[in-house]
Order: sequence, then structure tokens, then C-alpha cells
Amino acid sequence: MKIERTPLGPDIILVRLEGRLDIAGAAAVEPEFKSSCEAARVLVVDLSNTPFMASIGIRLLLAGAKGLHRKGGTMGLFACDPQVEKVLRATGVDQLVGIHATRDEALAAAGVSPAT
Amino acid sequence: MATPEAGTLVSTIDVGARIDDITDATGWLGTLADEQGWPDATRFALELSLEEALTNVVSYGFAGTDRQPRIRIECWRLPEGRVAVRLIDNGVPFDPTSIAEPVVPDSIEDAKIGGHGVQLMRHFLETLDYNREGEENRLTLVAKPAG
Repeated sequence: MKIERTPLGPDIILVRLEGRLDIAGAAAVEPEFKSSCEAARVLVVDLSNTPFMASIGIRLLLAGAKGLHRKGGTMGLFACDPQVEKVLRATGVDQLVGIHATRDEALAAAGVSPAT
Repeated sequence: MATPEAGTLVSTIDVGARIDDITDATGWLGTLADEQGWPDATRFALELSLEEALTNVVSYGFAGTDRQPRIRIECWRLPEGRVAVRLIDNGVPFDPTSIAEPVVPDSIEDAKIGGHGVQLMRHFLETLDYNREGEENRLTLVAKPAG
């Protein structure tokens, strides 16, 4: 699994996850994902190339979202695969982290202008 | 309830108890899904459930024991478009069906970051069935029928 990090502003970061977010995938991206959460106030996560997510992926997302929330920040997910979205809803992640159709919607929900 | 014995054994694989073996097992199941032309929802449900079940076995099944791990996975084709995966291991007794559902928290601060594996299996499967036979755990995962 690959992770690509793109700064969109001073403390706004876009993270693109590519591959299967299973036990091997989560281990591969965890250090970079964690450091992105630490560096950001607003983190938006592009899941358009994540066709699979297991509970280890839920753990990764919730740990990051908790850290962001603690410092007044926020995380938003966007462009989820339909099966992955079922995983997020079945575990109640959708009640805690915003799930959006597009990057602009995820940014707008975090109070960031899409033009950023 | 559908049981594997009512169907046809399609394939089996023996794996070890390392993290890499989980990837090998889900890869084996993915190849079967391609060969057998399973619908996407069936494939996803079984890959996810096997990943969760095997993660539990690899993480906890042999901790504190000097037992040589023996883990066998079987794939069965059942009547009416159902597919079953059975996981047989000689680890310590562990019944995932006895695990309580986590409570959905009111806030992100109250959220537990782990414990979602069994919840996902229950959500995506038609049946999650456990029994202990002799020195073996037997966990049967049955996907919902296609359509």
C-alpha cells in the first residue's frame, strides 16, 4: 500500500491512500499517516484508490481522528469505494468522521475554502 | 443454517501463523473469487471476514503456547449461490461469536479505536458459526447469497 501526502495550506493536508488497507497495508502506511495527522489541523483523506478496508484500517483512521480532535482539528474522508463505505458505516465511523463525495466537500465541511 | 457439509469443497490451503500468511490466505481467496466468478459483495464479505478471523488466530491463538501452529482454510460452494469459508486451527479455544457488539460512542473522544473485527464479520456475513472439536477451533463464515 502507498501513501501520498500533499500540503494544501499551512496546516491543511491531503492524504491519498492507494491499495488494500489490510494488516500489511496498514503497517506500511501507519508512520506517514500518523505524522500527517500530527502535522495537520485539517486532514482530508482520499479513499478513491482503496478498494478494501479491514478493522485495522478503522483503527488507523480513528486513532488519527482522535489526535486531530484533541487539538481542535478535524478529519474528513472522501470518494470511498461503496464496500469500504459499508465498513465505515457498520463500525459507526461515519458518526465520528465526515464521509464526503468529493475533496471540495470534505474541505468545505472543515471550514476550508475549496479554492485552497 | 447452511453448513459446509451440504455443499462441495472447492479448495483448501494450509497457512502458518505469521502476518504474511494472512496476505497469502486472502490472496488465495481472491484467486478463487476470480475463478468462480463470485459477485463483488460475496468476495468482499469473505475476504474481509477471513482477514479478521485469521488476524485473531495469528495474534492470539498461539500466544504463550509452544504448540506448532496448524491452520487450514477450506472454501465450500453451497446451494443457492452461497459460499462458505471454514477456518480450522489448533490454537487456544477462542469463540468470536461470544464477543459483545461494541457500543457506538457519542463522541470521537469516547470512541474505542479497536475491537471492530467481529462486528464487521457479523455485519457482512449471513452466518458466523463456531465450534470447538477436540484440540481445534472451527469457525465457519457463510456469505449472503448474491443478488
